[in-house]
Amino acid sequence: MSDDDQVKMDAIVVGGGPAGLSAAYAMAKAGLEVMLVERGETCGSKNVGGLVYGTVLNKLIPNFFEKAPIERPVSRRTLVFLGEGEHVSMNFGADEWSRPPFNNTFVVHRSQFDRWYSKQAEAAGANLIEGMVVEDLVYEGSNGGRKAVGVKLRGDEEFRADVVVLADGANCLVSEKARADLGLKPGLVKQEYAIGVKEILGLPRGTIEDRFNLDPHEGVAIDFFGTPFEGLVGGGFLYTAKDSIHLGFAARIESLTHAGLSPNEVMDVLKAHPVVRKYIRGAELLEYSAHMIPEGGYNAVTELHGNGVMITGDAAGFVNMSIYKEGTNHAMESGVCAAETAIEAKKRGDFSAQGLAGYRDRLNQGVVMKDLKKYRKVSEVLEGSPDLLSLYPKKVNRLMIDLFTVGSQTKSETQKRAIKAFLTGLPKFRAIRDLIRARHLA
Amino acid sequence: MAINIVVVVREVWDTRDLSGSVLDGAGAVRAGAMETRFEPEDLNALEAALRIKDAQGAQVTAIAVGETRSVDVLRECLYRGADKVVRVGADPAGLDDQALAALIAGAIAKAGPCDLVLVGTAVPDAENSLLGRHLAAALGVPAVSWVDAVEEVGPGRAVAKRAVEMGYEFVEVPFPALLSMGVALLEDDPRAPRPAKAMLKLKMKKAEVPVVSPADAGAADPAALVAMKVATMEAIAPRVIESQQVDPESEAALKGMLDAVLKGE
Ligand SMILES: Cc1cc2nc3c(=O)[nH]c(=O)nc-3n(C[C@H](O)[C@H](O)[C@H](O)COP(=O)(O)OP(=O)(O)OC[C@H]3O[C@@H](n4cnc5c(N)ncnc54)[C@H](O)[C@@H]3O)c2cc1C
Repeated sequence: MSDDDQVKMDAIVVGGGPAGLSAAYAMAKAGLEVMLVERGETCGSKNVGGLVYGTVLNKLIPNFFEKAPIERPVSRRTLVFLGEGEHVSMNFGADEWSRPPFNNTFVVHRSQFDRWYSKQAEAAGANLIEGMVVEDLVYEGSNGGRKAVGVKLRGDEEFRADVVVLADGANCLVSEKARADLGLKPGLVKQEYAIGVKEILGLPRGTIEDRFNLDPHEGVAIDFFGTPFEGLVGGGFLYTAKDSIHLGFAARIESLTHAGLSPNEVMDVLKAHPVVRKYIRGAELLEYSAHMIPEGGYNAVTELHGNGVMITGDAAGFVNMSIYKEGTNHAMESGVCAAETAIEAKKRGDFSAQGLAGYRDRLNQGVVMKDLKKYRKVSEVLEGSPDLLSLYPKKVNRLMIDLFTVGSQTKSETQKRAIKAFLTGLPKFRAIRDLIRARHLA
Repeated sequence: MAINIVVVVREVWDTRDLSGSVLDGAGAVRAGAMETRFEPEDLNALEAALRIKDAQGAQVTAIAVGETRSVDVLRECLYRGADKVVRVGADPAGLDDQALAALIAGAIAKAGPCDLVLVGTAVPDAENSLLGRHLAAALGVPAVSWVDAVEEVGPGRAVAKRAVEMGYEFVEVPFPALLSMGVALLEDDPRAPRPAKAMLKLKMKKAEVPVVSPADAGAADPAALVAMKVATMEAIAPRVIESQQVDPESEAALKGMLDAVLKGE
């Protein structure tokens, strides 16, 4: 970089989460002059997340899990259906998941993990500007010829670049403004949001391993459905870190408002459920955080590239809210797609919307858009059949409890009664419709 | 002619928003349980130096003792406009202000000519605000404490403004001199101290930070200079205030609640 006060970058990345860091890393690796602006004190300091899926990252940084601050890999998963007092769960895992590449699923502290990732991007040559907020994009030209040429930092100056990669996360004010300013085509439906709330609860390592039946290098990811989320479109989770447990839930904001519940109230109910209460017994609250999650899926995705701009990650709405709840992986893949497109555009010297159209093509050929497309009905299904998340879990619980309640009737009497109880209150046609719809979730 | 200003800066424990237990059984800080920050009053001292630089030109050098824990205060000085930084390669843990002052004085002497030394006044890590005084003694220069603002600089002297009963006094000191900056600057100007500049971050991120060894600073064994140390600690149990509902209409109830809180019942 010259001493001259006018610096022009090849690319400026807005936001240092998985999407922005992947874009910055890949572009810097290819020799582009990249500047990444992150508003947190350090990358990750503002970030909230659950699991990190590593397939994309493992291509960028092979065996990253040997160096990155991983808390525990997820060697076992559990789905728990909570009733009032009863519960039914399904546990599954594979020995292989305890060995590299650990089924590509990791529990991390996002603040530490993102910070580590930022150091890798920096080592690859990216310039990180942390503790600075991008206020808006800088444009040249007008109407159809309008083109982003840089960013304006709050309380500071403008920086210029050939292309701006927007990775400002779910609450993406800069991306939203750019969509309007560049007239990007809207999605089929408006973006919708869930709120994700998470507590980090400290517990001694040995207690965690005993309580959850884990070896030292193992971890468990539990998903909760059922009564604590009655009337809500949402569910809970519990992940084991090294010396702490991550406990939280995500629920559609609209459904919370509709139910007149605050996130804290839901969290309290979840923590008070007998199953959860015993998991977190004796734990000390270390951290509380809340963050938005875009939930609109495929139908809410807008046009994502314009003159001098590409939108990635949560800002693009790349979260799969099926039972897989995948966001990090999609964020990273879209970041890499944007980077590859920028590298190609630089070779051709064309950063217009047309020159960046390869971004759309790459996304369409990759996993992100295909997965989002497969799960495009999730949003609609959950909204249309809220019972999927509460009535059915309750029913299944009742069925299992009734089947296994030890009493003095004959087995066939017990079974007959249990099945009868299971079916009462389930309108037949709706149940069939719901079950058909439910296949969109898995 | 531009003057030379040295600012002493420190990375200290951030005592805001503490949660959980931050002290171990022996009363020492559990390193993992706390964050650090740029000592706010040192930032204030840096701001005073940079204002002089803005107004009439100055060479501003920042000095810190010890490795960075999480906030690299020297780099933060470069990001705000300091011209030079020097790190003293000693671990400040266990050193008292007298030992620290000896190390810093040695580093200042090595850094070249110096007209003004600015330090922050209060030190949350030991609550005794004495670093500036010890440093002035070690350098053999006059010192002014609780300075609100540096009113005039040069030639050969500085005028410091500080609050006294019923008003202000303006203290004149000849160069070289040391000023301990108070908090007034921060309170009067919401934009002070200035934040980092993106362009400087871009340029200074990888700038080399020279390290002066304790031996080069004239104190090969800084621990030997320590005169004061904490012999034992006694913890005070934190007071838990139970939340309670009172009738907001009842003056007696409100008064009772206030009394209880104030008396610590
Ligand atoms: C409670 C919860 C649980 C989750 N669980 C999972 C899970 O189990 N698995 C999974 O894969 N995903 C999960 N997710 C989703 C996942 O965290 C996100 O999809 C992922 O973080 C998106 O990455 P990103 O880089 O697009 O955005 P982010 O990680 O949000 O990063 C955006 C960054 O941009 C910065 N920024 C924003 N605006 C500006 C600005 N104007 N100037 C400068 N910087 C700015 C922010 O500070 C932030 O660092 C979960 C999310 C939540 C909230």
